[in-house]
Amino acid sequence: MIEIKQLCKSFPMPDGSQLQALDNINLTINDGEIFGIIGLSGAGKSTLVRCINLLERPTSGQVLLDGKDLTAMGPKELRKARQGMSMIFQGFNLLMQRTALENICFPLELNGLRGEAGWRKKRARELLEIVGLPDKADSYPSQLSGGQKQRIAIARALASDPKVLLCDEATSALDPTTTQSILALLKELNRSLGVTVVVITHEMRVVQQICSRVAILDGGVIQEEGAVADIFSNPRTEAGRRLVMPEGKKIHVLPENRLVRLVFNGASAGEPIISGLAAKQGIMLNIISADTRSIGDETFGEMVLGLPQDETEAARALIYLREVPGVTAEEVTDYVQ
Amino acid sequence: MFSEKSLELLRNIMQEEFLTAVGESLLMTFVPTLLAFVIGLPLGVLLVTGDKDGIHPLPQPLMQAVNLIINLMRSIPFLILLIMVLPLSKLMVGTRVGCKAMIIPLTVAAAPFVARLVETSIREVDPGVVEAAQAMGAGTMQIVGKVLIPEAKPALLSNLTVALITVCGYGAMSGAVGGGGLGTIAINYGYYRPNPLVLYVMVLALVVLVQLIQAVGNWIVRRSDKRSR
Repeated sequence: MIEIKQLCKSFPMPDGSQLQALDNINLTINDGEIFGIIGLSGAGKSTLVRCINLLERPTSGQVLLDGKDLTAMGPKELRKARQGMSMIFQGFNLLMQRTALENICFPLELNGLRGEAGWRKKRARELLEIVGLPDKADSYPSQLSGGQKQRIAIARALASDPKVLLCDEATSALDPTTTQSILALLKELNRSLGVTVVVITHEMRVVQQICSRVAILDGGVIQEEGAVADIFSNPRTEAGRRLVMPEGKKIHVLPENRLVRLVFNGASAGEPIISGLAAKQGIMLNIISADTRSIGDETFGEMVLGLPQDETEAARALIYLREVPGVTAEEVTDYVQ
Repeated sequence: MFSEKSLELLRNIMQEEFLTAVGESLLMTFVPTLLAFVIGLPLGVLLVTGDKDGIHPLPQPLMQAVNLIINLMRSIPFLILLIMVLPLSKLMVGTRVGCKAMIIPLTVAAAPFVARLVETSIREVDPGVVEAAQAMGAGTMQIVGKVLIPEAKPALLSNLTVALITVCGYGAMSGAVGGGGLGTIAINYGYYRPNPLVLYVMVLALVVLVQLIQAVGNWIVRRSDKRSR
């Protein structure tokens, strides 16, 4: 369990003032969950993740890993604690002069007590197998694609048997298809190894796909925190709305319509919701915007629909939509700025 | 074009002095450069790691002092430094002349230069990789030994080539104060007893030496760098 208590971080500015990057952050991340920290650039999320493993030392506050305060540890103790808490990066940060296999061996070499070279190589090969790249052992990072590099980085991160995997924009440099495969791998590792995953991202869909809980960071402050389905279907703060509905402004072109926003959170992909409404209830809805994707047989994403002018039809449509399993329907009026 | 006399002189030199001179030039190039790396490599690493944003910040007055000393030594023209350091050669090697005596001043001149070359090579290492190593719990010495130096290896080898060529030039210059090697012959016959033919041949030999060092250096750098395969 990671507990962040009253954490503040400020940086001195050239003019002598202090830049408050993080302000009174309180978070609890439970064992075995996938926790998202989302925010736009400059929100302080990279600083926050670096405060978790103390790559950045907080100005004040505590970071507790399984009850032990990292901020109170000496350098040696801290290095030991960091081996239980791995990190992957947007830029992969592999050693360019080492092969994939040697990169994975690297964290094992740091921990000198753990076996000799033969054992390390064996362990590294097992990890290559887990991330699906058994044939890339002798390749150098420059010979690998972005997705392959991130897989090697994940294997390297797992080598020390960490309890926590910190992902700092780990998919932001990857194309959408590769992003999907890396997210699927992270989810699988979370399931099979029970490793706690902390995902830092600016992309709502990343959070939506793999996280169970999420905290929204804006201006160095946690704006809201909760289950992904709740935050996504009903963001309570301005920062939340900006992240959940980045293109909300487009809806401004139809101000006379009443709008309903559907959030798909694992609805069956086989269910024809809109045409079902037309066929069963005879109610026609206007699709204003849609951004959904299917993963397996589940649908994720959101859709904004224009309700009929007729009040009773609109009410019936809302009732129908709210009864579809895996879908949250919320009438929206106020998010158009 | 050249008189019979100067051809005769050249023939004598080529038979009696040339090979020894080449050997001395090589000695005055490689030994001081390697000694300079022994001093300059840790110093260059220290300049990066001890920086206030480095992985192991040291007291800044200390870093400023180290920087000042390096800059001071680098701003003294080599020939002047050579004369200033020769008493030290007398003390350490027992003589002020010959190629062995030159090893000391050449090392003293090359070490601060090498320290700067090492510093720039190490600064080129991606800070993200260092951060990754820190996140994995690597200590300062582990980062130096397993990340900074191995990742900077191609740049270090490339700069080793630069240093060898510079020291080769310094070595030739030391011929002016009785050093040894090709430079001594070039100065003796090109300046004190003007004989253009001998001068040109010695210069040609130096050019070939430098070209060889550069070519071998480039080949080694290309082979060692795993980023461009």
